[in-house]
Formats: sequence, C-alpha cells, structure tokens
Amino acid sequence: MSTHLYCLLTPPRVEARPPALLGLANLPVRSVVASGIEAWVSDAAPNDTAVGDQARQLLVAHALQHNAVLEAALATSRTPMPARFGQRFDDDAAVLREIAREEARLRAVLARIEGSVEMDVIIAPGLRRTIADLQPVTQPMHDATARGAGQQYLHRLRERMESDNRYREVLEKIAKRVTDAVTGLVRDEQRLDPEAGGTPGRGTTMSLAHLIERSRVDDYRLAVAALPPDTEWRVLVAGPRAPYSFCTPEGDAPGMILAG
Amino acid sequence: MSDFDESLETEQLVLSDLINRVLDKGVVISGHVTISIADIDLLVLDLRLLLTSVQTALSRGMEGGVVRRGAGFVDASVLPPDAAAR
Repeated sequence: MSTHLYCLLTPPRVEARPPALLGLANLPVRSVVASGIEAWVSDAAPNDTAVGDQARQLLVAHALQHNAVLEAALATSRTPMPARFGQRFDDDAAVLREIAREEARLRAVLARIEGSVEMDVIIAPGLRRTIADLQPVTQPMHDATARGAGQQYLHRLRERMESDNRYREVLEKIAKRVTDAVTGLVRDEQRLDPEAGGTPGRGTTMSLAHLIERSRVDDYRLAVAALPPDTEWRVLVAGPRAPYSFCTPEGDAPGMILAG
Repeated sequence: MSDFDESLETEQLVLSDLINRVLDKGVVISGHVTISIADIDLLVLDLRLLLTSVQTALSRGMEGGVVRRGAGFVDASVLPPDAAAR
C-alpha cells in the first residue's frame, strides 16, 4: 500500500495531531519524522473504478479531504507546507528518505512561510457583467454563404479580441486596487492568471494569493472590505488557508520538483 | 439573481478556487504524481479548471512513474501532452 503525503511541519509535535484525523477515503492520518521535519501521511486512497461524473466527483472529494487535513495542521499553531495533491510514495520509508535528501531546501521554504497563512481574493463578474458578456452570443448566426460572410466573421473575431483585452484590463485594474489596499499586510503575492480560469484570452475570474501573518487576518479582511464597491464586479475573500501558493523556492515555478 | 443564488454562486467560486489551488500548488518532492481523470466535459467551466490543472502537471514534464489507465486513475508524469483531452 503506497503512502499519500499531505504536508510537512516543523518543529515536530506528533502529539499535536488530532488522533482521530481522517484523510483521503477516510483513511487515518499519521505522522512520520525525519531530519526534524514532521510529515503527515496516510495510506493512499485505493484505485477506484469510477468513471465520468463519478470520477470527477471523487477527485473533488479527495481534494477537499486533502485540504481538510491541511486545515487540521494549521490548527496546531504551526504553518504546514502543503504537498502537491496526488504525490504517492512506495511507503513511509520512501517519504522519510526524500525529506532527508531535500532537507535544506525544505527548511528554506518552511522558514519562509513560518507564522503565516494564505488569504485569497477572487475577482469575479457580478450579474450585470455576466449579462453584458452574454450579448454577443445571442446575435443571430449569419449565413455563411452570404456575400461578405468571411469579412463579417473576421470583424466579429476582432471585436471579440478587443473585448477580451478590455476585460483583462479591468481585471488588472481591480487587482491593483486590492493589492494597494493590503500592501502593508502582505509578505508575498502570487496571481492566478485569468487565462487559467476559463477560455484562453477570456478569463472570467482572477485570483490573488497573499501570504500574511496569522495575526493579521482580520486586518486583511477589513482592508479588502473597505474597497469601494463595484457595480459589475465582485471581490471575494477566502481563507485563511495553508500556503499552497507559496511553497516553492524563489525563482521556481509552482509545483516544480525540488530535487536538482 | 436572488440572494440565495448569489450566495450559492459565491460558494461555488470559492470552492473552485480552493480546488484549483489544491490540485495545482504545493511543494513537490516526488516526481510521481497520480491524478484521477476521466472523460472530461469541456463545456463545463469547473471541469476546465481541473483539466487545466492536469495539463499543468503534464507540461511540467515530470519524469518517472507508470501509466495506469484501467481504474480511471492516470499517472500524469508520463502522458503525452494531449492525452488529458482524450
């Protein structure tokens, strides 16, 4: 049975882990310690024969169970380093070997996130913006054989591209307002590119991740709440979460293997 | 949109954002990442988030691992870039 990794913590405090904590597929979570770093793991969820919608639902359920373990880790008054979902090792000994091998780099990241949490801001269209965006879709389809049909198509395509650029400009403007509002509270910021959230070139949302001190969560929420309301866009605050977005060494893309 | 609808949509947005981070972020200390995928409906926005996360894993070109397709689980580390769309 392989081992699923949830997170790494320091200093090791095995007694702080809730003894009845369950993870993926309701499997019990346990601690293993190497090089002064504690890892929370469980047996990996058994392979499932679900397909289609059931498989998607299972993936979402497992992701939420993975996150629930991270929330329990946050509650031990330490900042867990979230492991990328889906990492499996042959067994606990393999986890310990990897931790020992990567100790220096892991400690650098743990030091960077110590005492912090992640707060996320989601910028999403409100109802008025959503309705406005639907209007081009409701235009009647033109006859492809009609004279100038090709030119009409290209014209509409250009209009769409120009609209996408304006869309992105608005998202960027709102994101800057948010960043300016919380700048004194934030240790680091990461941005989820709008193209990653929807159709390339027409991201419907933008997500900002901020690393802040645990003690400043209320100040952060107040700062975002103080922004002037927008009639077409919503700014939603989520968190505190484990610092998923801040767990790679400087200069590396999120999720890259630490090993050289 | 009623208050209930807006509240539900807000909850869905926050949940989608969380799942996107869980699937796409976090430290990797093993080249062996197994993510379950299935026939993905490209017309559903939230599934695009999942698809994007899988494609992100594929594009990082992680090495090692064995492809296991039978049970609906696919090892993302060795698939060709367009495999997730099949």
